[in-house]
Amino acid sequence: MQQFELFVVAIIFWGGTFAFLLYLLLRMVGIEKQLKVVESQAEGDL
Amino acid sequence: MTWIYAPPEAELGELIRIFFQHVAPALVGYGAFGVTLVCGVMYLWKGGLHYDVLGAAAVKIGLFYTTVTLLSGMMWADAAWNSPWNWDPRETTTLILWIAYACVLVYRASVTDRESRAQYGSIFGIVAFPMVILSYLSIRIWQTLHPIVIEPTGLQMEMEHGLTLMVSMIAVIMIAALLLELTYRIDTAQEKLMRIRMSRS
Repeated sequence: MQQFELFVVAIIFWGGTFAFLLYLLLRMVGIEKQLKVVESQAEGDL
Repeated sequence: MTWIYAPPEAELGELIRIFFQHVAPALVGYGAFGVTLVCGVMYLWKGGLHYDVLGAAAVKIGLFYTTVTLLSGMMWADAAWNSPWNWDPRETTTLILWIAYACVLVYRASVTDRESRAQYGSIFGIVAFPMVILSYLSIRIWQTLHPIVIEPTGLQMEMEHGLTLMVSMIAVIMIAALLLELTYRIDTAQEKLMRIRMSRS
């Protein structure tokens, strides 16, 4: 029984950390792509 | 160290291993809300949107670690006290703390005006901080199921457990610093994107 609780806590801690990290990395890639598009459009306007 | 070095505790047995993944995130969460407090004060004092962006990023990190604390605490409480939620003063004040900072994030997401979002977001970040102090002191103010482990004289635990807690703290602080740095960079890039879009429209 104790092993199950330890396993769940490890999933909460490490799963949460890696899920958060993955979310941040995906967001970073998305925003950098959008920034490139918007900046190239702004240069085109000039 | 949490899984191999730390020996089972006399009363809690193997469950002591949850302690390191419960206390370290809790203290780091408090620290992240402390960063929000400092950034809020600095923004209101000096101006500078980077303080606001960093303060908001710290709210996200603090909320993440408080969520980990609440969930791991529920698992521990279920095993040690036979119920995941006991309305213990520490549990209750930490839940109120979580709700207070979640409200800060909800407010920030709901306001479009950049200046008022930064101004009121900073004020809310400062106003919510006393909940951190109350949550930390709750086990000393009220009678509670939580044991008092951190005393002014030192840690009330075996040396191996104290050492493991220290190493866990350092590890969680390093992970939190990485997450904070990434969140800050992403939010700064998001601000830049919004600024370019608004100047074009």
